[in-house]
Amino acid sequence: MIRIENISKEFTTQKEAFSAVKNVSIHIKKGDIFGIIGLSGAGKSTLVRCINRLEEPSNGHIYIDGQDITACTDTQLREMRKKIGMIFQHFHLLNRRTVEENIAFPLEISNIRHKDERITELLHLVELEDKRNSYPSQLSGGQKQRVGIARALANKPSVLLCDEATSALDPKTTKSILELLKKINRELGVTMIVITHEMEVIKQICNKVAVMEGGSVVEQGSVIEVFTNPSHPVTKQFVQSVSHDLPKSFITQNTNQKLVRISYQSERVDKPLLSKAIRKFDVDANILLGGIDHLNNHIIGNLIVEFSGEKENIQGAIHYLEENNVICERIEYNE
Amino acid sequence: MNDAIKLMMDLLPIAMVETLYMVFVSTLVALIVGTPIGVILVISEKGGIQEHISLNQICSTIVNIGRSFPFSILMVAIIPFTRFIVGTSLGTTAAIVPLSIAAIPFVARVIENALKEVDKGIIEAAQAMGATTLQIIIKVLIPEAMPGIVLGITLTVINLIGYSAMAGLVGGGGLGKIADQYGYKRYNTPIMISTIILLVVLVQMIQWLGNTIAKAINKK
Ligand SMILES: Nc1ncnc2c1ncn2[C@@H]1O[C@H](COP(=O)(O)OP(=O)(O)O)[C@@H](O)[C@H]1O
Ligand SMILES: [Mg+2]
Repeated sequence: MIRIENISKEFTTQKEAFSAVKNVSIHIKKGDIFGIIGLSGAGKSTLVRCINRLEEPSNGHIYIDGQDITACTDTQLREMRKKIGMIFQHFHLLNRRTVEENIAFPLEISNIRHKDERITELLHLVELEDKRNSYPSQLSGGQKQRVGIARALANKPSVLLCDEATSALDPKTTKSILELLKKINRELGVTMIVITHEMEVIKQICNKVAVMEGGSVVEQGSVIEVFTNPSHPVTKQFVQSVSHDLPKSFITQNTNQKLVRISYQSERVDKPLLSKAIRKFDVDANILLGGIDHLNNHIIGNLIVEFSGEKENIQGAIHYLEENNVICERIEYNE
Repeated sequence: MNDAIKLMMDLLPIAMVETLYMVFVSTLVALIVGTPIGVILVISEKGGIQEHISLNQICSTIVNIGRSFPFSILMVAIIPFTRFIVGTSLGTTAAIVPLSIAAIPFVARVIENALKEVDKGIIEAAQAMGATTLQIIIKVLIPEAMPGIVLGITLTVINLIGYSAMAGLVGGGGLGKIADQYGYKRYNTPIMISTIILLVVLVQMIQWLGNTIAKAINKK
């Protein structure tokens, strides 16, 4: 659906050249909600703005439904942009147009007649029928973003780009906007690219994720894979930001004990693995903390377990768990 | 005393109409010519939606030259041009030519400043929707900048009232001419004071009108 191939973007400020995006390749399938997460300045916005060429990539190609947007003429580009919706952190609504007139804007651009019916349909979709004649300044942040979404969908795009769409909103509103995006993805089949610096957003709606740092993608895959088994330090940091963690004072470490974070997808684990491991390898397991995460439509179990016993036995138990689709991560507290 | 009042009633209403006529027509001309220049200044600048540095520099230079003429000198300097356009350099209609020419670069800068206030993000959103440059100018830039434009036009009108009085001193019509010929040259103090009061009231009213309209259409 969208193939980003070796995209780079350099900015030249005065005399310096600065690489904001470095050789990024990402493939996004139809119907994906693809998350791109990274700290501020990682290059996420620059990358996503290359997709509709608000930013001209310095190198590389981007294919949307097989058509190379980096190679098309201005006229073709405008036609393609009509099929790529975009929503923004600060909404960017026209202040002097009502909700209705804002949604009409892209329809005017495309010379579409019978705008009224389409606008009514869109207002229903984003649940703003009662705000039809309000001005943006009369709306809350969440309502403004709903107008932004309706406007972005007016021309029936196949792709929706969301650049920090919920970053200016409170947690409750964020949740409702994410629910709406999910509904749009499910019911209209719109492929989405979701830029965020919050793991919570990825967790709630994305099925795939790429982690960016310093202009590069350092890790990508399904959200479950990346979430349960992060390999890059930045990814680990993001995962930790939403996981239940143990206060350090809780821990008495000695050589006969090992602290392990265990995660498992509930549908892939059907045996009482932990008790089996304990019996088989003659170790003790002290569960310090447990929790459940909802990742998209999957349920992930999380445990922090303190194993005690012979060193080899502990290793054996961990191996045994790993062989059975359980992800184990040693927790080291160096103090 | 009755004679003095009669004279005023004979002179002032006509002079007022002449002033309004000069100011209105030259504002109109300046808007028609100055607005496109202001738009070009904004869209052609670096990072603008239709970047064109050399065009930007040409327009900017012309505007600066236009604005560096004091109005009194401009008025005299373009007398041949005024004659060419209206056939004479005297009278109310003739005064419209220098007034318009003085107001064009002023309006260009006023429009430029108002358009620059439009949030870049809104323009970008329109680009992302596939809008052409012309669509962005007509549907985004100008409507969004309208409150600022109204205030800018108000400023232009008030400036032109001042200039039109100056034009009255050298053959133009309007309140300036009355103040000069009757108030100054014939020591008719009541007329002098009346024209000043009329000008002050006029300026106040226009400023009030401009502020009211700008506020009403500002939806921020
Ligand atoms: N127009 C620009 N000119 C120069 N540098 C830029 C420009 N846009 C972005 N950058 C730089 O590129 C880097 C990545 O920015 P951005 O893509 O906005 O990051 P993110 O969205 O991940 O926070 C930042 O260091 C930023 O300063
Ligand atoms: Mg960003």
